[in-house]
Amino acid sequence: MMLLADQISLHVPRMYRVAYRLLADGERARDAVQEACVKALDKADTFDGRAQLASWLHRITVNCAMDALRASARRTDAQGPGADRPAEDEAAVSPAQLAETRELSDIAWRLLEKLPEDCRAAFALTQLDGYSYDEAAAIEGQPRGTLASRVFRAKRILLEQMNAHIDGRGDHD
Amino acid sequence: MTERPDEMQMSQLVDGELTSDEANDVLLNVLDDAAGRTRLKQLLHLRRATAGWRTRQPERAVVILSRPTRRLRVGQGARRLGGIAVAACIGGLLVLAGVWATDLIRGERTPPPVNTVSLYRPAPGAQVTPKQMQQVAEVFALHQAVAGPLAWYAADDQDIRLASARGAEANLTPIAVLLKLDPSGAGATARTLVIVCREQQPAVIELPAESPDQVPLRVYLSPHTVNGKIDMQFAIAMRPGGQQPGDASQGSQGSRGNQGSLASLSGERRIGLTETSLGQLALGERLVNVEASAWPIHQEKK
Repeated sequence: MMLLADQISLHVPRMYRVAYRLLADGERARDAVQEACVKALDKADTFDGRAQLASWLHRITVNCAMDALRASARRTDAQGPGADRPAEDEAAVSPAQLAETRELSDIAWRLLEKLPEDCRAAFALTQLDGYSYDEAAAIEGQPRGTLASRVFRAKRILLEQMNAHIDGRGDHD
Repeated sequence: MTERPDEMQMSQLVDGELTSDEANDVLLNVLDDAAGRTRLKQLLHLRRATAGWRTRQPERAVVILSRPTRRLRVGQGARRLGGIAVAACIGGLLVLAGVWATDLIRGERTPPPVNTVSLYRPAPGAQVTPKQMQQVAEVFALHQAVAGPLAWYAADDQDIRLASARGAEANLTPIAVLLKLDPSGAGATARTLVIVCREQQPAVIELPAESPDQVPLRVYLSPHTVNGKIDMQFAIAMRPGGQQPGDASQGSQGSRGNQGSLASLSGERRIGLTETSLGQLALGERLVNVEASAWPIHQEKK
């Protein structure tokens, strides 16, 4: 049977993405994850085995990231495009595809804030943080079908807005 | 099976959330539906646009400890190399006087054996950063400025050793090697050695144990540069119990063994900036993963 610490280590990448999304800083996100790991082990006896480890760790990570955010009192827009934007897999696509993907990515970040809160959370958990629908549903405390529906709504809104944005830009060209 | 494809199912398809049967049904329906194909393509584009986020991971390791009172903040662990560099500057001067700088360097050490129970590494084969390369080059240059040309230099967070160059040795390209000894299992901490030796000039480096969790170590390295990478002949020997290991070069290439309590590993690898496994040492009931990265120092002067 795996030690809890070993199980936690499997969740570190996603915990990091959650913290990064909130903090917009790689080093601070890593520190928040480190802190979350320590807290998780410290509170291991409070972990209700019926809950999913992913959702339990997610909650701790969000709390640690929010603590860091409050401590610094300096909020950066994590979802805005910038120098620290995630890198696309450049080797996997052609330069034209890469440029298109980057453009879509930038537009998506700008439009993300306009999503309804429930859709935005579902979208962020599954599309940005990398949680499965089942895990995201557990985190949100919603049935899987509801979560899937929210993800789809978010995508539909984003695609509509992105298309409108691209069409609008084309009109100006 | 000709109904219009369900867009919500398409959304789940691109997220990998459908069973293979469900996925097949959706794809079959999309085949006959141009609008559906367009929509699926858009969903795939959106999925690709967020791929960078889903693959993001920490650039450095996250250490997970079982005892919160012995927290080893990641930042501290990551700065160890910098700590080594600072310690090396202090320690190197003392080594010149013929003493081990252990006591002074202990001031820079991380706490005594912490109960490390797990470790998340960002990716297999961590990459040496330009900053690390610069630090190693600067420390080596500093030591040479003080002690004159060096044949080799080796440091970890506790000890430093160096040897003066003789004759034309000083003209040979310095080769930096980061050698990591990473024991498996609970309560074990990795030991990283920063070594600079000379191209095509074998170096034999002995590092005694300076704490109960360490074992004496003997390292033999003979590097030469091939297309920017380092072809490295190596032999590494460890013996628990405080005695210096015997001649590590006895092992044949690629061999590994455990002669009594002696653990040895030897062979030849082509090594670059990405961490490369040299193999494992069987040290009692514990396996020690040995990994190395290497580069010629002159590249850093550009």
